[in-house]
Amino acid sequence: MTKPKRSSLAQKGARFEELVLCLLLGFMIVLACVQIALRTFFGGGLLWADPLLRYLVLWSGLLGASMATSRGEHIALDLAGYLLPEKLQPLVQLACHLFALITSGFLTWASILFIQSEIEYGSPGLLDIPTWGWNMIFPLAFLLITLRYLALVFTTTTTILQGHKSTTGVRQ
Amino acid sequence: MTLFKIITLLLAILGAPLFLVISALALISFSSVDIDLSVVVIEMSRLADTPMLISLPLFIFAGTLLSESKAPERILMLSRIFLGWMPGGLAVVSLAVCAVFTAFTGASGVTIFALGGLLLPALIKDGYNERFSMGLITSSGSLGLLFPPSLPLILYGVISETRIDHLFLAGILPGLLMLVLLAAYSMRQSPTAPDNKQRYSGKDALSALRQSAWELPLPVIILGGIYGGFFVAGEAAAVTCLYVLIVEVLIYRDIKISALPGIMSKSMMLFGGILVILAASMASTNYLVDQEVPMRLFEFIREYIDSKYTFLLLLNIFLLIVGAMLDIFSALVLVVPLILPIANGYGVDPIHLGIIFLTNLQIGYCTPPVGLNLFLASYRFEKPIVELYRSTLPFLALLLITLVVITYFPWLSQVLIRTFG
Amino acid sequence: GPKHLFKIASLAPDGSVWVTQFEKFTKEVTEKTGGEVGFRVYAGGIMGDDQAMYRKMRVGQLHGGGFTMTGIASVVPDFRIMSIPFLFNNYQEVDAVSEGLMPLFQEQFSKQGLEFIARTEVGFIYTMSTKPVVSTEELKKSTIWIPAGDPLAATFIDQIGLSPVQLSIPDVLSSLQTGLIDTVFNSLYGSIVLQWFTKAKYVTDNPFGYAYGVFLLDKKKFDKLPPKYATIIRESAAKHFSVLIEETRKSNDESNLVLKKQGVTFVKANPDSLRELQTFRQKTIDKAMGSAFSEATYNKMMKILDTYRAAHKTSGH
Ligand code: NA
Ligand code: NA
Repeated sequence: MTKPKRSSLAQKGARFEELVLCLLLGFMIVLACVQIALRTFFGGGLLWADPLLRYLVLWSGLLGASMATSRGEHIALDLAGYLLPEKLQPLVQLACHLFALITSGFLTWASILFIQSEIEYGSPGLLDIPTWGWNMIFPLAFLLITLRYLALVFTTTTTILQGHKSTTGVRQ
Repeated sequence: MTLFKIITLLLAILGAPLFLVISALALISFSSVDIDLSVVVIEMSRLADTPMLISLPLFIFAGTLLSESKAPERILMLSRIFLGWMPGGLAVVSLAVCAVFTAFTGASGVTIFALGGLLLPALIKDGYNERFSMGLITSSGSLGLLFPPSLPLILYGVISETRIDHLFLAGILPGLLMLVLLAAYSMRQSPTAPDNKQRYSGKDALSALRQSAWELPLPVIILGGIYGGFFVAGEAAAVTCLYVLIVEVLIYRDIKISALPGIMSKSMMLFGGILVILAASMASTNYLVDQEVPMRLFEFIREYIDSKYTFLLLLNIFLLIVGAMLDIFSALVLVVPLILPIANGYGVDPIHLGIIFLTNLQIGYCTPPVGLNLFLASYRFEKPIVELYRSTLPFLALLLITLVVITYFPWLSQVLIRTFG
Repeated sequence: GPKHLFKIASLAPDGSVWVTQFEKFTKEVTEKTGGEVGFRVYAGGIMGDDQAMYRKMRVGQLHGGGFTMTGIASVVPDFRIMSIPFLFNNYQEVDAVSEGLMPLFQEQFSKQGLEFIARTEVGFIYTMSTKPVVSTEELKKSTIWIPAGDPLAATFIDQIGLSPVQLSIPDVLSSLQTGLIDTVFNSLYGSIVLQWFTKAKYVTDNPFGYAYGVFLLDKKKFDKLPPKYATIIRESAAKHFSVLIEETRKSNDESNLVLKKQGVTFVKANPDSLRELQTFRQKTIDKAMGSAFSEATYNKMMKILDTYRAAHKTSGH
């Protein structure tokens, strides 16, 4: 009852995300190695491979960051555990999650503004995909992060209201 | 606006994710000077133009694979056979193994968790006292930071736009100096009657060599590949990845294929955590550039400090504080862009600066009160943190001595570049 | 502070002829407007490359920039027309064409919300490599850089049958140093300013193309200026940017000697190979016309060039 129940939709989403991450990383390793082989043995690589790899790094990293959100694995100082009495900790956690929700919401908004401007003025980018397409990972990842903090705010609030000690935040 | 910033900083101390703290500061700052918020994302999108970035996720994945395999046990066995015979043998083995392991996995605490559990009982069994042993492992947890292909070294190269292959060379001698000093101290502290020392035969040695035959070539592949001119640092990461994948999954079969997706997504989460901090700091740095802060800061500092040596001294003190407060990745992305132009003004070579940075941040890992290694070790060994403060003090003193040497003898970080670069 | 502050960025490094001369221009404008119009210069790429600079201009963080042709031609494709390989024989032809096309460029940039203030110059560009490159064969054996986002260069290199590495300018030096590429293209002065000559120590002494850029201001912001200030900017720009072009040419001339003193070797291209490479020019034009630039602008340019050549009794390649 104290454990936050994740809907099967969120679970499926997380599984899908994990799959995408694995595919991205696998593809990055293969493409980078193919590029080295082509350069070493055939004197020239694929023109689009290096810029594509750079975008893949961005996509995999931002998706990874979004996954890290729901597992509480973002780098943080977290002195609360040493500074504050245990009673206050759920409240502090709620404040942190609220702050994270608002900030990631603004980041999503800023990304949408950026993408709008790219759609209006941008140019065809790598592999004739417009630059806004390659940059779509920003609104996508920040939206996912926002939704995850929304869920965290919700579960923390419920926990506090139920008067239980927080069990969601086993953080390092 | 100032109120928002204060709230943000307060929440930072209380555990809000750092990438959002930095992002929030950037968003608040830009809106306070009426600049469109999308600048934050424009600046983040520049990460797609960073060619060296790819070596981060690839080396992270290779490091995670190594730490999930039985490589730590094999390397430990091998070192015990070849180094264990000398006075203070096991302590030297611990230092060497931790250094190699940290170089490959980054100082993300993996070293203390994966190796600490093996090393501490062994050290105590060999007659080392407990306090010394804990201090040794805690301070070794970040010892390999200066050795290639350590992640913080790569990250410094990415942020400062300096050559990663040069950074790899620059770190070797300073890293060895640390290792030698700590080893010498450990030899002095070794138990007087090493009667329970295990003896190994030539057969044991051969078998240990054969067992780790596939992992031994890794440093050669990375360093030989780069300095032999076969590939650049980013490509070295891809080759390392493929090699480790084949060795650990197909040859040793330490890692089941079914376990791969978990390891892969774990590595990407680790990388993602670093990437978003880097992205956020791109935005906050751009605000500082926009307001010409680095330039003004330099002019301000130059009014009070004339000498490069005084500057370096103050820089070290500043970085030790930063290193003790922040994790190494946040410290790098936040402080390097600010300090680099100033150090440049004092004629400090950016590669040398990088080594100074990393040495300080490494020491920060075991500096009381909040060094990360202290917490990790306290958690792993189930000891109160104050006890770990005391046990790491002698090691801390030695590391500070190397810091002075590294700072004031740039030769140490430059001679290999002149020879092989 | 100034009532009208223009924040300007450029890839050109501090202390280079482009930034130094630009600062003389800003100083004059500020003086003549009684301090009402001011400039803040972000040199050396600290605001990012051309693409980032353009994005920041759109949202109003920057109000202008010294752009390279390759970086800004994605916004106005016809602007790259003068970079067709083996097009010009000398700087007089460059100036004739540039002057003739100026109204067209101004109009096209203006449609994108950008005020074309002046053309800037990098100069005639040369092949530079870590080893001597004098024949097509040797060119084919090398690992060549081309600027990211330059379809014309990509088409030309593709016609020759080379597979290049695409990098943006700030990444070229480190890639030369690490051996990712061994052959680059730049003006002589450009290779000094960007330190490329420290690695690419062999220059093939036959220019094959022309590189240039443009100083743009945000049109919205420029239009808001009182007309007399706009005129001051235009007049000062006309004066200082023509000096800048002279200075750039002088620097390129002097660079020949500087490079030789630094141990750079100049080699002559094999005449057969040079003729062979020139045949790829027409193929490149045929292939790139309509996508990389418009046919109308190409025809207009060739008419100006032919008229100039007829009047000065010279011919093309
Ligand atoms: Na930065
Ligand atoms: Na730290």
